[in-house]
Amino acid sequence: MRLASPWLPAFGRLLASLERLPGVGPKSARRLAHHLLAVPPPQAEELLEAIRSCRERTISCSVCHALTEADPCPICTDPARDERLLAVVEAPSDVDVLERTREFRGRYHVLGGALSPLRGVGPDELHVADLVQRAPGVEEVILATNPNVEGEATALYLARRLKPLGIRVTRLGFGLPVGASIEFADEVTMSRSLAGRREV
Amino acid sequence: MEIHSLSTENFRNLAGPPAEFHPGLNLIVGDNGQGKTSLLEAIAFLAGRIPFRGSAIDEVLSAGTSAAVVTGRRGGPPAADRRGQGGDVLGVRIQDGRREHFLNGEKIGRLRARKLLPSVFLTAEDLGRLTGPPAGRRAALDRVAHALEARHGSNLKAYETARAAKTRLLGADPADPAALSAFEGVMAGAGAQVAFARRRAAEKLARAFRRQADELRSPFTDLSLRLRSDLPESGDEATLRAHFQERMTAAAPEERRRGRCLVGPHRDDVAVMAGESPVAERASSGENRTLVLAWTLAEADLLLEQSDAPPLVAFDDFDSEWDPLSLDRFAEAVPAGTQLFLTSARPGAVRSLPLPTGSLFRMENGRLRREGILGGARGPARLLSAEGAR
Repeated sequence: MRLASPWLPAFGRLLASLERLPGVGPKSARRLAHHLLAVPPPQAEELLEAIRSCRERTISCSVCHALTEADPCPICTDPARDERLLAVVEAPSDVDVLERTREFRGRYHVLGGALSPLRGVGPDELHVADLVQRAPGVEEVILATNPNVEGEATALYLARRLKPLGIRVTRLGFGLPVGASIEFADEVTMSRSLAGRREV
Repeated sequence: MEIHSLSTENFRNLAGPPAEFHPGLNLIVGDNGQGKTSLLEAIAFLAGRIPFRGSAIDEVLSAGTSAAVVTGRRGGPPAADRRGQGGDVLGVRIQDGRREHFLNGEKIGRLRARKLLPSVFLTAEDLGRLTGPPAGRRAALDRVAHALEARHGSNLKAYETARAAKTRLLGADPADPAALSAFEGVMAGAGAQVAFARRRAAEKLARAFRRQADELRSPFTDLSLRLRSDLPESGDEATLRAHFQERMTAAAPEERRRGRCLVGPHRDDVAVMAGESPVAERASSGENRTLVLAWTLAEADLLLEQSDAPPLVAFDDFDSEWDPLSLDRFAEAVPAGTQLFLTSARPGAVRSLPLPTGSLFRMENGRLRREGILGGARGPARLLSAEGAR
């Protein structure tokens, strides 16, 4: 551990912890650390307590593996949700993204990653077996894994596992971001958009 | 396309103030090990190309530094950045084994950098292209495919990632057939697109190559470049994909036994043929080098077709490997308006060649110094101010 100020070991420890956070570099870590020292004690306590209680209370849903405080999660138990429609995502954070659309009324299944033999992630390391277990009663599975090699391979893998069970398997469409100008779309995105064009 | 100026930080042994280049010829002379090739390599990095001499990306960093930066001002109309603002300052930052490209300080992709500064390089490592391993020929073909097909780079990357994953799975005991088949699916999709783009590139390149070889008066007739691939020579992407998938299925037992991928575009090669027989074995080393020159000029032709200005042409140690006659014809074949970078250990090297007007530089200890003007306007080049010509 690199100590910024040898005479302030506690401060150095805080810096090192903050630097380990995603998207936080040495400069931001320093700014955050100084900020945390400057705020009134209750505010710092509140942050500590928020982290502690979040860590204690947030668990993984035993059905869909999304983050929840109650098991099963509210989405899995919501009778208004269509249990015949299942969106398969890689990470719990992907559930938030789909939920923010307010369009999707089905349920989720979080895989906990994507197939990556190079990183030692095979089907057994993902929540694949319980996805297959959930299959009875499901009519359509939307594969919402990432559009990269691992995400595509995972989608192909799941399609081959699920189709023989008589389930309709679909994949998210890829293409232009909504609201963006075509002029600034990169060529790869543009050609995926062309390949995925549809009739109007 | 041209580059007006170049400055570097921590790039190999390059030092000194920003260099201002001539829009025509830039002849850089200097003894070996002074930084002539490094200067060309810095331009190559700016233009989105890979390091010379098969170096790892971090090898370009000066000793004891952790990041290198190359910036350059390009000619031509300003290119629009993401905010729609025009600009002409290109940059590349090399750090932690990665590089990032910039246009006016805004991040851009490597592909965009290539488009903004189209370029053709001929360096020592290209000399063995015809006789060396297939990887060099594939890379040269892929550069043309990149220029013709925007997706080629990402398809190639996806193919190689999926192939690495499949190779790992083949090494597992027992190999998981469903996971293998998933990665083969990705390989088939990306591989078919790679193959299709390469085939198109090879056809175009072959025509330009034949033309240029004739210009350089190669003794071989009926020359062609042919893509040698596990995938069929005709058919659309869907056909190629289906065929590739079948070939993988057929090869599966052998692949499992040997633990690696035995079919696919990673084995592609480009054969230089005269009629129906390969040239490389029959040609003298001088004739082989002339064909490399023709291939390079053909690449420049195709880049010119894709852009509104001829690509920058850089030719390292240009007078040491080619006979004067080939150089003469090379000088004639370079399209008008091309910015040329030539390096040489002998300043008098260009004296008798019909090259455009330009600047003479001397490279010493990584510092570039302008030494004079080369007059020529495509007549025989003369050293008008010839302090450097000894």
